[in-house]
Amino acid sequence: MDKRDIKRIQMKFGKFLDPFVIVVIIAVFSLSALSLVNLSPRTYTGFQKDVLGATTENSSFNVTIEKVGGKHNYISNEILNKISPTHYVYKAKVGSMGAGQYSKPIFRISATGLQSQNLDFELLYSDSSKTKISLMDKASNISYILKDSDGKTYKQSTKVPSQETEYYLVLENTSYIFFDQIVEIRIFITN
Amino acid sequence: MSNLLKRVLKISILPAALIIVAKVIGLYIAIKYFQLEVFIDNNPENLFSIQLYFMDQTSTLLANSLSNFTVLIALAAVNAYLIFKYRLAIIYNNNPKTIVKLTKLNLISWVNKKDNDFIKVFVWTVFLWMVCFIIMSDVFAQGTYQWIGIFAFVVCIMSTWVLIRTFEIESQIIYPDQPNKLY
Repeated sequence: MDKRDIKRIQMKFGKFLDPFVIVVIIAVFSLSALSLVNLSPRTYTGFQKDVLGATTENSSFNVTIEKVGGKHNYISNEILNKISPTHYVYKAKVGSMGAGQYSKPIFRISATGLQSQNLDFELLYSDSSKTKISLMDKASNISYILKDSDGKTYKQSTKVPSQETEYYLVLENTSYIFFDQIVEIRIFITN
Repeated sequence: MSNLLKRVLKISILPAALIIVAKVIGLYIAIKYFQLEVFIDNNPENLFSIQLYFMDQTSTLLANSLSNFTVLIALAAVNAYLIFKYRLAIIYNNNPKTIVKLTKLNLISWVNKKDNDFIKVFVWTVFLWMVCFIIMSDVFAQGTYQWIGIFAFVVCIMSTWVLIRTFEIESQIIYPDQPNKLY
């Protein structure tokens, strides 16, 4: 088949491609519009919304979360930001470490009176996909897995403890981690 | 395959990419300059599951407004450039004084390029309209500052007016003997 034949075929059947080109043009327009809309940021409401979408404020809020602090060989530069009375963000740097399990008390939760609120934990950010990250409630000795060794993350929820308790950050590696990483955990107090 | 469609498709890729790039740059400037706390969450319910979130309403409004304004300015600037070039090319063809001036400034080749056509101006204007409508709808949803919405509305009207004027010039080129014919 020479060039003239190809051109002849193109001329004969090329017109049937026009509707597809129109669809592609529409797709280019729509995708740019959708990208513009999707790239528009939103305000995080997370777990704070109830079924009707209204934010529930609790005027007699009596749950406090404090950073434990202290020194650790691998977990350092800890920050606990109080975003709102119901929302905290914990951030820490985790240094390079060998295979094994490492833990450190990171925050203390105290509550007064009868509690009906829930505590929700969510891993916001973690560099390493192979480190298993969990939180452990010292009082009840229950662990909440935030990320498994396959990199899958989990949102965890529990009742606000009636007595003061410390939560431990537990890191488990099966092999040596050569680089520093940042771990961020969101904590919500919900009704 | 239709040459017109091929040309439209070829032209429309650049403004589509510019919209996304300008939005990202606008967001980056807002986050860096105002030191806003931002994070990305995964929401499978949405069309695109990845979503940017800010912690408070003020930060969201600020970042969204600044990024929308960046997109609007970027598109409007390119549109203005294309229209200016197109109009200059038309005047250049009809006015000897302009030819002399452009020759002195060594801009003849810039004005007289083959890609200087009405369809390019039209496609870019359509993208500008689209951005203006998105920004105005965002203003109604209280996601962007009101003055940016008003600015977008003015840009939309101005671009429509300029496009109509450009179309009139184009129709005069196609039908030079019938000055009252508008197609």
